[in-house]
Amino acid sequence: MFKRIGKNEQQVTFEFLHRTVIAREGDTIAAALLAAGILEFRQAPEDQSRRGPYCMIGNCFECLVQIEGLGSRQACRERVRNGMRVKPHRGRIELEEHDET
Amino acid sequence: MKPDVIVIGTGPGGIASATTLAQAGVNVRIVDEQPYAGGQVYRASEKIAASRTSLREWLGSDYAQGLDLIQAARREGNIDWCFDTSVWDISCREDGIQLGLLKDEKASTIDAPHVVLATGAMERPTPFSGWTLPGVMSIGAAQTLFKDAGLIPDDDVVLAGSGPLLYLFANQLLNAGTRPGLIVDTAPKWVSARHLLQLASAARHNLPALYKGLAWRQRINRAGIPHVYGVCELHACGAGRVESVKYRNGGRIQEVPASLLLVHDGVIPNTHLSVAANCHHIWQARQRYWQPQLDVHGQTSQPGLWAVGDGAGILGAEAATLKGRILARHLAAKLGLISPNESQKTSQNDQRMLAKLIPLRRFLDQQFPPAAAFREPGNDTVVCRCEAVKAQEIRQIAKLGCVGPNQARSFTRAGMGPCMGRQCGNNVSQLLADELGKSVQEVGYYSTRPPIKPVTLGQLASLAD
Ligand SMILES: Cc1cc2nc3c(=O)[nH]c(=O)nc-3n(C[C@H](O)[C@@H](O)[C@H](O)COP(=O)(O)OP(=O)(O)OC[C@H]3O[C@@H](n4cnc5c(N)ncnc54)[C@H](O)[C@@H]3O)c2cc1C
Ligand code: FES
Repeated sequence: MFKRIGKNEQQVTFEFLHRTVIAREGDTIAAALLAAGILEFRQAPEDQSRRGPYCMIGNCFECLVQIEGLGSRQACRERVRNGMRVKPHRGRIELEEHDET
Repeated sequence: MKPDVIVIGTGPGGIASATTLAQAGVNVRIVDEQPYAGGQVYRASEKIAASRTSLREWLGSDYAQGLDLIQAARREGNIDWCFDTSVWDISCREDGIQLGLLKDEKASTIDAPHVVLATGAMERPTPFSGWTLPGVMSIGAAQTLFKDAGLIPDDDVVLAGSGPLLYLFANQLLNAGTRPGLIVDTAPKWVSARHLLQLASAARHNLPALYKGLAWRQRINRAGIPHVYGVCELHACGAGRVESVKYRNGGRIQEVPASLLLVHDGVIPNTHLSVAANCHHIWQARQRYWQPQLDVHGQTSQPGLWAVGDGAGILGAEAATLKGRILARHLAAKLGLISPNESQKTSQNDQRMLAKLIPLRRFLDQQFPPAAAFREPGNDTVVCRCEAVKAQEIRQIAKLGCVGPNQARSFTRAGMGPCMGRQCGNNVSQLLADELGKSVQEVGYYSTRPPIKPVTLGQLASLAD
């Protein structure tokens, strides 16, 4: 699907659905997931169809994920931070529970 | 310090405006939601220049020019750079223009007597069957991953659609050592006799650019990439993700396996802020997009709000730079820092260069119109991706008497999802217009109210701090 150019020097790791994903410092969450071979980021609330990033410039909102502590975010605009916990969207946007941490 | 002018966007249009304004002594604040300057075309220029990869060479000489533009701007002391900052609100008042900003989870407002919208373009979101499958992305999206994250598609990638960006990207992939599996071109192979006049005029005014485009095509040819032209139907197929691509070429339907389908159908102005600011817009029937109506200097119908670059109508990066400089001189004269005479005189050369670019653009518009293959989505094709509304539903409500996109939005929920109509807006207007036998200008566009970007209640609450 996608491959990386160059060596991955500054690694950061985060969690996507209980899987550890290795990213490059400065990656958007979307880039890091795509580099890890993950295409599906969410399910559409209307028909439960599987969706993944389409535009990568913040317009289509197909890349929505749930980030712990931040709630629903566009994965193509949010940069990875070490230790972040990310989940795909299922159905309508959930309200983040703030006593989670 | 309070800025005299706020520029939104650090692409060539915004950067050139800000540099020329600053050189004239204007205090400029430039805002962009990206973490770096460059816009779409020169995305991540400084980051790539600092890295030790070959990315910069692979991206080509046009891309390399962006760095000079950015570095010239960086030398100006009068520019206040605000990265990672989204503009989510705009209101035009008598005493100036107020913007709502969002940075680091905090919302704030700022105002200035003049605001320049240099918000650029987006790819035309053309619906076709299967386009919501994971693994179907736009060519610009893949190019963004290339520039921003050093990610390149594998060899079996299929590129589909038409336009210069498709050929440029195929060349950038070849530079990086990836061979696209197939190019499915919705444009014809040859220039039709009808467009020869435009071609001749483009050649007379701007031979090097035309030659560059030809060289891209030749390179694809020489590399032996299978390239089918004049394709008139496209389907992405697969269960849960794209697995194959079907297309109609003449009478035959062909199917090829693909793990990634990248599509491109030209670019259209990103008018979200100018629409939210209630500016008048005009529908460009040939290129099928809305653009803000501007006076000769680039002022929108809202006094003090200006637009430049591809967000004001698609003319490309070079024109965005030239127009940015010309607009900046006009504004500097308006602010009393240079005389109107000086502004005009110093802009003459840029005006001449701009005039040379127009014929090529006219030719490109003719040769690569929005693909007819995609223009009329099948009844089962999803038009509004967010709410999964199909073309059929829009056609049906038009038959039932729906008169415009705002009504269609409340009837079908098309345009109500998180993208706020960015993807479906033009398509819904077009479908209604076709069904009602009206022009798109008559049918109109979704009205948009701020926030134009998602803002959480927590972020909004920080306004009170
Ligand atoms: C994905 C994509 C890739 C492209 N790649 C190329 C290419 O390789 N070569 C080429 O010649 N042309 C390319 N183009 C065409 C492009 O339109 C160029 O002509 C050029 O980038 C236009 O320059 P500009 O200054 O008008 O705007 P842009 O370069 O698009 O810059 C606009 C800037 O405004 C910012 N912005 C927009 N809205 C907001 C907001 N609400 N808040 C904060 N910031 C905002 C954006 O983040 C962006 O950085 C591309 C277009 C797209 C959409
Ligand atoms: S991929 Fe389109 S908004 Fe993120």
